[in-house]
Amino acid sequence: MTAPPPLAFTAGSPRVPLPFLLAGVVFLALGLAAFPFVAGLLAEGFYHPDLLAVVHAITLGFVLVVFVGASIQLLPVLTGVPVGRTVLARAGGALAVLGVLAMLAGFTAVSWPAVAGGGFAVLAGMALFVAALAPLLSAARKDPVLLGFALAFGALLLNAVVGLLLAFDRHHILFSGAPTDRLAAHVHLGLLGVFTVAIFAVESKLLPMFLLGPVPAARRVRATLFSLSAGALLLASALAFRFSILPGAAFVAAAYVLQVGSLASVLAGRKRKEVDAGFLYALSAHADLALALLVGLTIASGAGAGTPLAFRLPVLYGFLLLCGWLLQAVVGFLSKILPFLVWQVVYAPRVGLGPVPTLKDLSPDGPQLFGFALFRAALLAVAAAVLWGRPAPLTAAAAFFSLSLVPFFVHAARVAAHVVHPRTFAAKEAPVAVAR
Amino acid sequence: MPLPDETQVIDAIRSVIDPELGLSIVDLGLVYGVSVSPEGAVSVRFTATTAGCPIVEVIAHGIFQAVRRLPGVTAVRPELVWDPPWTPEKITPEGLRHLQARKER
Repeated sequence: MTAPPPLAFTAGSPRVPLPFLLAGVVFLALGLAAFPFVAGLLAEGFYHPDLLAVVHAITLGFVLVVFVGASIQLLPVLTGVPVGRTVLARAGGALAVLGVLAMLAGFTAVSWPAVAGGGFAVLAGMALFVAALAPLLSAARKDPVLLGFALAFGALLLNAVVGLLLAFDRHHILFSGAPTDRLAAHVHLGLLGVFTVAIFAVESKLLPMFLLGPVPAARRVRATLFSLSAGALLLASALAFRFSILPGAAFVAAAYVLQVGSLASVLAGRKRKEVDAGFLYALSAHADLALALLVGLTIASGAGAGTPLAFRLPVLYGFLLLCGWLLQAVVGFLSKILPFLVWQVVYAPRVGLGPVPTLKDLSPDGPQLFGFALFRAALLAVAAAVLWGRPAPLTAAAAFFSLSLVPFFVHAARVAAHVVHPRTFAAKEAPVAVAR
Repeated sequence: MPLPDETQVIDAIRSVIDPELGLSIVDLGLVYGVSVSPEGAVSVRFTATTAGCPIVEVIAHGIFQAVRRLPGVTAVRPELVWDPPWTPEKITPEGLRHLQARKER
């Protein structure tokens, strides 16, 4: 008898990124725990370091760390190209995690040298990580997902340098003009040029897979990713150096239209009609991204100038981009990906030997759907409180928002519990319902 | 020892599922062919839903484990093929009914 084919990405594999995913979830919990205590500052008209700590806990602590972990395991599987230097990638990721911790401590203590030091560790860690993934990313011409990650990681390194300059600028004045212009550039490059590019790339692969729909043409996906990257870069430059945002905004809008068109094709041609919580999060995140882009254009048109809206609209814009789009999309994807990663570790080795659970068996849908409804309501509550502009409602809405993600944490914990206590499925529970 | 026929091999492979869909790879239309040699070597030609399908190795491993236990089998060769490419139209009527049932649950 020949030996069984190896399971390179399953049990015992050093590539399983659960420590990164766990670290990401802990950062998210920290950010959410702090949010109600700092939300009142949103009414005050300036970007307090405590707010920056919460934003970086979500963007770098949660989203980036999750991306790092998922990149190590999922990119090789999705693209068929090995990482190559896994140890270096993990070391780089770990250094970035330590850097994020230092940054959060620096923001909280209002110590800009600490922020800069942490930022440097993030930059160095991600540079190591990208170097480790270089053999994989060099195949970007062949695979749109890799192209997306190559563009996103390039923008990430650039944006880390921008962030470092911003931190130095707070300590030793380096630039003239309003710091908020450069902060706006940093935010746009990060949220659009890094994270949105990566999400669009992943979506183009995963949604057809999840929904059994037609795969978007590679040329269309490439055009979307290039347009978004160019748009984010132009937009950030326009904000930093005060020239017209229209070219950048046009590229971003074109990318959004292309992406939504691709998603519409997948939805129209899908064989799987079932709608689960992860899918709902992803769809509603796109709606919030559209809303954010509209608010952005409203701000650019000068609406609300000379009124309280001149500050509240940018806060609303930032909240929609960060929480309505980015956080919601990543929570949605993680709701789907985490059960799969755990299933790969725990149950994949048993496939073919007897009944194994499906992903749904790892954590029920009902509480997740409830969590989604709660999250939508909380998003609305915070958006309304931002427009109202009073500290007390902002604090209450932020507390509601943080609590609305408890079902997601419960889902993640239930799924992760299978690593410690795998279930044995009796034949009568076999999920293979189809028989001759 | 008698050799398994193609139907027995296919039935054994039904225990290999796509964990996301809860559907056997047979009803998903991923199994393109089975052959059994007189010596008991079993070849299973299978495909994946997309080139980047994350469970290709799991499927190959599962086919091996499911088929190796059949009496008379001396070797198992799961062969991943990409031609013809899989499309959702390859899902069997039973598979479509299963997907529909999941939607209605």
